[in-house]
Amino acid sequence: MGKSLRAVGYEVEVCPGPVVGKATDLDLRIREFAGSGGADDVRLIYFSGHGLRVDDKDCIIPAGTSRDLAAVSDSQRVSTDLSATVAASDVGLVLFIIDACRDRADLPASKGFGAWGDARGLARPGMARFIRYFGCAADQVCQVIDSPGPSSLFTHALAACLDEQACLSLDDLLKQVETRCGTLLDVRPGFSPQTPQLSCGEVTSATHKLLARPIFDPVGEAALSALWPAFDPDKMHCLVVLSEYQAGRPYEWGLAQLVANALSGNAGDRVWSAFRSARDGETLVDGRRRALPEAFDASTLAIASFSVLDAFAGGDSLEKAVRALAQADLVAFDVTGFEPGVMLLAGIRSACRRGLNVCSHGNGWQEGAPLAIPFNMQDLNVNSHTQRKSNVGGKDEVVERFVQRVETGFSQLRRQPGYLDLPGYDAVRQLGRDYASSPTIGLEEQILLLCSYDKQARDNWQFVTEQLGQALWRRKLKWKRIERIIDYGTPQLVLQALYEQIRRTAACVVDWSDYSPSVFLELGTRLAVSEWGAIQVIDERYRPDSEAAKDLTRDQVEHLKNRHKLEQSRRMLRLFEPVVYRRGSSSAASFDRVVEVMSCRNPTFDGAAKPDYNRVYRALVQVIAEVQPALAPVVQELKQQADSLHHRSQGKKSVPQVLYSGSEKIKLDAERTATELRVAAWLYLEYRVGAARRKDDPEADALYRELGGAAIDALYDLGDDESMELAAQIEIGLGQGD
Amino acid sequence: MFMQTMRDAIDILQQALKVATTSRKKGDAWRRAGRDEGAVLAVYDVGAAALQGGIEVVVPARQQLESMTPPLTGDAALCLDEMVESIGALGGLRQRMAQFEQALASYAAGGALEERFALPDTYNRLNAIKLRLLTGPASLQELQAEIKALADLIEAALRASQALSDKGWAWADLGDCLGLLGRTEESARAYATFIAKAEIKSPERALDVLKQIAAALQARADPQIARLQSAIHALQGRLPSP
Repeated sequence: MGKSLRAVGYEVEVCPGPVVGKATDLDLRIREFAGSGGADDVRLIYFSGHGLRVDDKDCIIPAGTSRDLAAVSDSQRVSTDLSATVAASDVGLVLFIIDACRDRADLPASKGFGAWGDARGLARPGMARFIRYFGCAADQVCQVIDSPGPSSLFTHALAACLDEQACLSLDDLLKQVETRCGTLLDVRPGFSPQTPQLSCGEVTSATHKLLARPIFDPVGEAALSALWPAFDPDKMHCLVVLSEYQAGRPYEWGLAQLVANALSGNAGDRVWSAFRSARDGETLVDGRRRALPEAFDASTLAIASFSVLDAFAGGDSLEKAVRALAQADLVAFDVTGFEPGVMLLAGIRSACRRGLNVCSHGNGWQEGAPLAIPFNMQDLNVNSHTQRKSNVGGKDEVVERFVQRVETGFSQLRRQPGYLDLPGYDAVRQLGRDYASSPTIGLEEQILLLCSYDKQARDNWQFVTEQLGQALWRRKLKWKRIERIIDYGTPQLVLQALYEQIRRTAACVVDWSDYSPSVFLELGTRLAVSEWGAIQVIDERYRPDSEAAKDLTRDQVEHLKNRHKLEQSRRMLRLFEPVVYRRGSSSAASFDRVVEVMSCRNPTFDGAAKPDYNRVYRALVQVIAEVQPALAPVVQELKQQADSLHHRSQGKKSVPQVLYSGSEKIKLDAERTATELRVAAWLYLEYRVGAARRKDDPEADALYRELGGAAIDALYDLGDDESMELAAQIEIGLGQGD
Repeated sequence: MFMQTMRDAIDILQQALKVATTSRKKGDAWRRAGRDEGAVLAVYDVGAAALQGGIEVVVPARQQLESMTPPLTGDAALCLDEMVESIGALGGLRQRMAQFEQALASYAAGGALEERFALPDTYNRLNAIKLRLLTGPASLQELQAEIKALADLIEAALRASQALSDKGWAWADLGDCLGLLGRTEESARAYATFIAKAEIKSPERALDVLKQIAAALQARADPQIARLQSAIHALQGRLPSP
C-alpha cells in the first residue's frame, strides 16, 4: 500500500510496531496525525488487521491484542470515529481506510442499532471532512486471497487501482475497487460477496465535493502547491503551462527546460535586463511600487510550471492556476496541438493581464513550417520549442530564439502602451465612452452562443439554438436573440464584437462539442471577465469514453483525433460539469436544465455560496489589484499623449510621429493638441499639485520643469499675444521670467 | 571614469540646448511681434551665454573626442552629436544677434567636427556658406564648388541611409544647396519632403534665412541672384497660405 500511495502523490509514514501494539498509543498517534495539517491537506490512514463493532462503534484491534479482550475493554481497542478530532482541526480531509473485520467473529460483539460501517453513531455526524472506507459492507467480511500470494482481497484491489492511476477521486476509486473486487471474486467461486463501502456522516453537498476531489492525482494539487506563495513586486514571476502532450512525456526535453535554460546564466541576465527596463518603478493598483534590483540572481526570480492536467485537477487547483496566471510577468504556454485546456488558460490570461506571453509549439514543429492556428489566435506569433537537432557544443538556437522573443517582447511592452501578444485584453475593456455601451445585456435581449464553426459541428449549433428557443418558450421566458457572433447583424470586426459580447451578456452558452480551440479560448476569457460565468453544454457523443461516440461520423472522428485529449477532457468535464445533451434527441430535459440555470443564476444573490460558475472571476478579483499597474497619474497621461503626438525631440531627431504628417492640417492638429496637453499638465502641477508638494517630490518637480519648458517653446512658436503671455507666466512659474 | 565624463558632458550640453531653444524661440517671437530690439537681443543672449558656458565646460570631453577615431559609438557618439548641435545653435543665435564673425567661427568649428567625424549632419557647413553669402563679400559663383560638394554629400548620405530620410533638416539642407546651385526642380522636391517631415514652423524659419541671403546678394548685385530667388519661390509655393 505504501508504494501505491506514494505513486499517487502521498508521503507515507509507517506506524512503528510498539505503537501499533498498544491501543492508547495507537489511538493517540492516529488522532495526532488526523488532527494536524491545513485546509489543503489530505490525511489518509490505512489500517489492516482485526476490527470489531462494540457499543455501536467500529473499532480496530491493536496488533497482538486478543479479540476477546478488545471486546470487553475499551482501553484495548481503538475507535475508528475520528469525527470529533477532525472537527477540532482545519485539515481538509481525513480518510480512514479500514481493511478489518477479517472473519465472522469480528461482526458486532454487542447489541446495537447499527452494523459494521454504520455512520449513525459518529460523534460528529455533520463533519463532512471525515470519511471512512471499509473493505466490506455490513454483514460481510474482508477475505484473503492466495494469489499472487496471500493478501487481502480489498487491499489487493485497492492497491491495483491506485497503481493504475486511473482514478483521481474517492468516487472514482470506490467504483473501480468495487469492480475489481467483483472481478477477483468471479474467479473464486468459494468466496462470499465483498463490497467495499464508504461511510460518511450526513451527506451534504460538501460531502459530494470531497468525494469528487482529485485526492489521488499523482501531480495535480501537489504540483500547484509549488507555485510561489504570493506575488512579490520585486521579483520576476515566470510561469510555464505545459500541455497534456508534454505531461505524457515527462523525460523529454520540452518547454519547461527551455524556459529554465533561458532564465539562467547570460541568457537570464538579458531577460532580466529587458524585464527590468519594462517594469522597474511601476506603481501597482494596490499602491506598491516595483523596485527591481539591477543584478539578476535566483532570489529575484520566481519560476513555476504546471501541466494543464494539474490545473484542472480540482476547483482549488484551478483557482491556484488562475491566480498564478494573473500574477506571472511572463507566461510560456505550451500550445502543442492547441489543447482545449491550454486554450482555456490562455483565454483567462489574455483577459486579465497585459504581460508577456510566449505561445510555444513542440512535437517537431519548427518556426516557418505550416501550422494550423485557431481562428481567434491567427495573429499569434508562435515560438517553437522543438529540441535542436544536435546537443553538441555551440549556442542552443532554440533557447536563443526564445530569449530574443522575450527581450523584444519586454522592450515592446515598455514602449507600446497597447502591447498585446494574446488577443482580447483591450477588447474586453474598451467598450466605449458612452455609458450605454458597457452595461450587462440581459437574457431577454440576447443569449450569446459560443460554439465551433467547423462544419463537423454545424448541426450541433442548429440543434442547440432550436432547443434553447423551445426551452425558453416552455418556461414562458421572453428573448430576442440566440446568436453566435457571426449571426449578429453588425459590420463590426468579428473579434471586436465577440469580446464585447463576452464581457456584457449575462447569458452565455458554451458548447464544448468538437473541442474547438477557439471556443475554449473564448470560454477562458468569458470565465475571467464575467461574474455570470458560462453555461456549458456538450453533445454526449463528444464525452470521453462515451458509448454514444460510436455515432460520430468518420469525418467527425478524424477531425477530433488531434483535438481530443482524454485525461484533460475528463478532468474538465468533472470540474465544469457541462450539461450533456444528445443531438437529435427528443428529450427536453437537458435544455430545460440549461434554461433553468440561465434564468435563476444571479451572481449577487448567489454570491454568499461562492458558486463554482464564477470561481475564475472571483479568484481574479482577489489578486488583480496586486498585479495590475495603476493607471498613470493624470500628468503622466497628458504628457504621454502629448509626446506620442509631437515629441519634444522630434524637431531635430526625426519625422513627426503622426501618420500622414505630409498633410499640413494633420501635423498642425497634432502639434497644437500636444501643446495644449502640455499646458494642461503644467497647470495641473502648478495649481492642483502646488509648489509645496512639488518641493517634496523631485519627480513631480522635474516633470513640472520639463513640461513647462516644452510648453514655453511651443507657445512662442505660436507667437500670438495670448500664447506669449502664457509662456511668460510659465517662465515666471519656473523661475526664469522677468 | 571616461564614460562618466562623456555622460556629464552630454547632460551639460543638453541642458544648455534646452535653454538656447527657448531663448531662440522667444527671441524670434518677440522680434516678429515687433518688441524692442534691445530686449530681443537680451533674450538671445541668455541662450548664447548658456551654450557658450556649456561648450567651455565640456572642453575636456571635446579634447577626448578629437583624439578618437571615427566612427564613434555609444556615449561618445551621442556626446559628439550634442556638441556639434550646440556649436551650431550658438552660431544660429550669434547670427540672430548680428554677431556674424562669432557666428561664422562657431559654424566653422562645428563644420570641422562634422567633417572630421564624417557626420551626415551638414548644418554647420551649410550655415557657414549661407552666412558668408549673407555677409559678403563671397559671391554664389565663388562658393559654387563648396555648395556642390555639400549637396553631393547630403544626397549620398540620404541615398545610403533610409533612416536619415526621416530627418527633415537634411532635406532642407539639400533643398538649400540645390537651390543655390540653380537646380530648382530638384530643390523644390527636397523642400516638399522637408515640409512634410519638419515641424510646422521650421519651413518658415528656413525661408526667412533664404530671403535674408537673397536681399544681401541683391544689394551686392550678385549675378546669380535669380537662382536663389527660384529656390525661395519653390519653398514659398509649398508653404500653406498664412
